Amino acid sequence: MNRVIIRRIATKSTSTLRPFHEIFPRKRLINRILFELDSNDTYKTLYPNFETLYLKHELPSTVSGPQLLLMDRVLLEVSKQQKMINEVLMKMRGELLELAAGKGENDAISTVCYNILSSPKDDSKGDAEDASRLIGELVKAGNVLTFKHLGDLSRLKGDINEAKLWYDKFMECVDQDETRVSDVSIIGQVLERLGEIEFNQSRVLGAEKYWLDAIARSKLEDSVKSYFYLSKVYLNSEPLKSRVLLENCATQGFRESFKELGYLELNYFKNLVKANEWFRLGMELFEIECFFGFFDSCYQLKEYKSCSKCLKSLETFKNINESYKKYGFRIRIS
Amino acid sequence: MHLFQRGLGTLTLCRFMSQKLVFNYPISLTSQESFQRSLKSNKTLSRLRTLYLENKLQFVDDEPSLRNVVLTPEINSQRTLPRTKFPKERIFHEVQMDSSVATWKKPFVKWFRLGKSLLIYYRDGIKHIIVAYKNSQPFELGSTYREIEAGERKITRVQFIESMRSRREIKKIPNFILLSIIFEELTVLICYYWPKIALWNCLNPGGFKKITESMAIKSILPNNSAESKYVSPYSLPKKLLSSTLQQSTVMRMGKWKLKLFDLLTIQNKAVERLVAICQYTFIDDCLLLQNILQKTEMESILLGYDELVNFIFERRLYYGGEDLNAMVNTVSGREVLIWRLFLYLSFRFDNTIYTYGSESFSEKWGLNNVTILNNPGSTFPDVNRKQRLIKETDLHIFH
Repeated sequence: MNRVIIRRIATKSTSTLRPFHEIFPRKRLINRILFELDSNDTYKTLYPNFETLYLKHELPSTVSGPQLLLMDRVLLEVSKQQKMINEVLMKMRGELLELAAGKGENDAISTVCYNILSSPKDDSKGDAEDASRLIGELVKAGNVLTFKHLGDLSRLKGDINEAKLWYDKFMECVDQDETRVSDVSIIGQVLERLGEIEFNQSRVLGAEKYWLDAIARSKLEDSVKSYFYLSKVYLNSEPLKSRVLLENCATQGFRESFKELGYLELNYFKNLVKANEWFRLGMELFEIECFFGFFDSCYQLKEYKSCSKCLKSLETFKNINESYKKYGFRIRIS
Repeated sequence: MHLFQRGLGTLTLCRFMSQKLVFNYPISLTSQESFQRSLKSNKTLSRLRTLYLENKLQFVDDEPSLRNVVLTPEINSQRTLPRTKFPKERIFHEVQMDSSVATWKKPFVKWFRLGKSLLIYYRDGIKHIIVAYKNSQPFELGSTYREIEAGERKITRVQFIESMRSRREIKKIPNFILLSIIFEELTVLICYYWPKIALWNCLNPGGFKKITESMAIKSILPNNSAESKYVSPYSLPKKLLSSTLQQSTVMRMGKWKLKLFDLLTIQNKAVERLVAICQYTFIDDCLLLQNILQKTEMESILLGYDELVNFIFERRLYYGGEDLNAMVNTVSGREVLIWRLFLYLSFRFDNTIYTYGSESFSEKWGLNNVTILNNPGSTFPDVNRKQRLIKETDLHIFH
């Protein structure tokens, strides 16, 4: 297991680096995350480790494998809660995983191997072979996360049936003992993907069950897609339910949900003010359909000034992005 | 990803709701030529007509003693429906022909047997509703609608309608039994004057006529206009919503309840009832049509007169002054009712996936479109009752 490929990221001289305290989140957020993860470690004990890793790209050998994985989880939660990807923290996550893999942590080895196999490079043939071998060993050892990674890899290859087999195996193990997975959000992800597979095979009821299970077993921020899929399933039969689900997606900034909510409010629930507000939020995320919806809702609300401004923005977009040209006919109709 | 596309399709339809929708034109009855054109363009109508002409779809008497065939069990639920003929003539005739009864006794025996048959009818009615309630599972309309639209729920029409009808009528039983205990034989008279008290399957043609008369469409509704477009249930004016719910034949909402919702400004409850009516109608229509189209490939389908009358009544496809029970028991009247059934179903379901088309119901009409609720699916130069009858019979669709 120790023969895991460790790929160092390009290092910069410490003199050009920004101070770590400017990059790292505040104590309050980290402590909250540690509390949610039910950890015995505190900000005070982990911060020096993070800082050393940032500055020297290595950690003292006293830091144990589970502690490395905990640090990785903390960084993952930070990016989830901040809803943005910080490149520096991402690089640190990579380093942490490699260090944990070096210390023989199976979950870390599985993740590193998955990263190699999911994005193969021409010059890393040997790496891929090693990763495949290690994955095989992890499957024999019954590592649950490896089942999920194998499902993901099969899905990437387009082998849906094999993906389903691995995901089912994962769920079987998790149902027997949930503690075998360190991160509960992974269960939600697997259920979400199982739902997608069912749906692609035209089994809506099966898909609905998986997505319902996913939202029941994971937090909203970890299962936004499941909420969105369910809202689409309920759209024709239970628009009220669909609206609630879409609103949940919108609270997480899920881009596609704004136009759906806007049109639902505009054309079905006939709440023009609410529709206008959803479209306005969607426009802030540059969702092109929201501009059309916003125009329509403003027109119906007789806010002609806003209509005119919206139209001008759309015409500007037409010149910026080629793909927006297809909407040109709609602008003329308006 | 067909359903995702369907979902998006629905929104797209809603988005362009102000425009006329394709394939949604009612069947034209303004002239022979226009009707022939509609018959060509609407494949569902011509299919139903062919099935009827080839005797693959038959309408038979609901009185078991007057027919020698068995009604198709998957679509008929006789035990939850009222009879279309009052048995007076039959019973009187039987007594008249009965040689074991002395001639001087016959007038008394006639009335005695009629009274007895009515009491048995009421007793059986209560029993049937309880049995149907116990034997059927409850259906949640939203999820059933979704599953039927996705083609994943395999239920028969009789399972659905028995569940819905028995659950609607079971609430009346305590009052009805109490009434029978207090007023005994006078219950018959009470049920005649206030037919809504009686269980639905305990109604006699006289009481049924009173109810149909009170719920008949007396004026042209805006949703019965020739051009169909998308109208959301949430966009209905309060008055129209109240009147539609109060006059609903399926899930009526009382005036006091509507006023209470209005007072507490919880309009959503009333609108959701309208949505439930739309969904109930869709499920019932879809199951009936699917049964007709799929089953007739193997065998003939037999639909009872009572089911036909109930179908026309629930969709309010009749006008004030029409006695549906009398109509169904005459050849010309029956053809008018069958004709209305075909027009209605063809208008709603043509070119949908249920009639081997390409769109789902929501894609075709948009989300819970109320314009198609109680829409006869045909255009008339005038909605005058007489002209309608003349037009229907003049078209000679069945010849």
